[in-house]
Amino acid sequence: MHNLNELRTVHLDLLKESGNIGAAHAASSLSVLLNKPIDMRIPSVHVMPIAGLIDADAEKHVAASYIQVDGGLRGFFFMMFTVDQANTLIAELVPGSNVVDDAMGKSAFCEISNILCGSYLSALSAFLGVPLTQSPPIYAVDMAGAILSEGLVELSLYDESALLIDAVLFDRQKGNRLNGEFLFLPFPDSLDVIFSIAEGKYSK
Amino acid sequence: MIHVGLSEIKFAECPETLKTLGLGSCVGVVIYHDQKQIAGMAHVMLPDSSLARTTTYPLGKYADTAVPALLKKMTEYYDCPVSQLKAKIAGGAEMFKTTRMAPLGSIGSRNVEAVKNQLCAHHIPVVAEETGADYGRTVEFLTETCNLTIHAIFKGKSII
Repeated sequence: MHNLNELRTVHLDLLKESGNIGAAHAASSLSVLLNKPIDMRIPSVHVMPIAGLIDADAEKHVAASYIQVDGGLRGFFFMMFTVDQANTLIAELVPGSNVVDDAMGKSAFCEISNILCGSYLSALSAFLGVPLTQSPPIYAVDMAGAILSEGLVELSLYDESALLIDAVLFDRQKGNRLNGEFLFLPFPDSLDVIFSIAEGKYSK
Repeated sequence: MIHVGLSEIKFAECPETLKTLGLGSCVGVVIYHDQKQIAGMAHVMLPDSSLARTTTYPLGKYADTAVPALLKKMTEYYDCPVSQLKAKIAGGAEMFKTTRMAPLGSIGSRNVEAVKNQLCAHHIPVVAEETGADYGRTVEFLTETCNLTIHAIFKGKSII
């Protein structure tokens, strides 16, 4: 198992590149779904103390969807938007709905995360040459800290820090950054899978 | 106001307050001495340190290490007799509604149970609790009144 503190720039770059490939595919899928151009970038891959990650915006009111990744590597996705932004996001799919108390709104939000995650993973799976599966999304709307800490419980058994591949969504027409996050958190033992596969691929 | 972060343990004397933000499945445990107006709070994330895959971890992270650590400082440093200590707890929710089996089961209720078992083993009475359900909580303990104030987004404020 990798110790997260031993990760070098070259490792982070590799993770960033694999994230970029996934994000590009995910953005195309979202563009089709919402019928407008959406860009998605991986601005950073970082190792962060779990406590800091959770405390940063602990009381922010968010809608979040959580998806587990299994198969060739293990980890999970979080799609998290402030409630206002989440309502904006789903407005084109289900006009007049919301993500707080409307089942259609929640379902639309989950479906967006499902599609984003699916296309991200299929690109990553092709890049790494390993099969990847995803669980159906589960959903919560509440304080960010309360939601994240529950999602990070299993990961926290391995390390006090977590590796975070953080994607940012851009609405190209409006030119603004959607105030939402799309996080991929792989388990530490799955990082070995990424590195060994990638190294093998490039040494040939 | 003293901020207690994830897996942390902090102590306060009157008129200070102890606050922890966004408890989900985590449990906020307060052990206090009402006459002396001294309290310690832990933000417990998991029920048992035997689950840990690492050799080092903050003592406040697991119920079975957090409660003894709280007691040790309350009795040794603050000189409070164990028999006069009381506890209040909050948190242990289940944020995600799912029918699927989570890898660690219902972690919220396991945390609450583990914390109560620890307190019971050390003969500390739980005088009040606001646990379970499916919402996040921000809690603040006031050493002056020994009240635990709980804020939730949809439920508003309550005091135990």
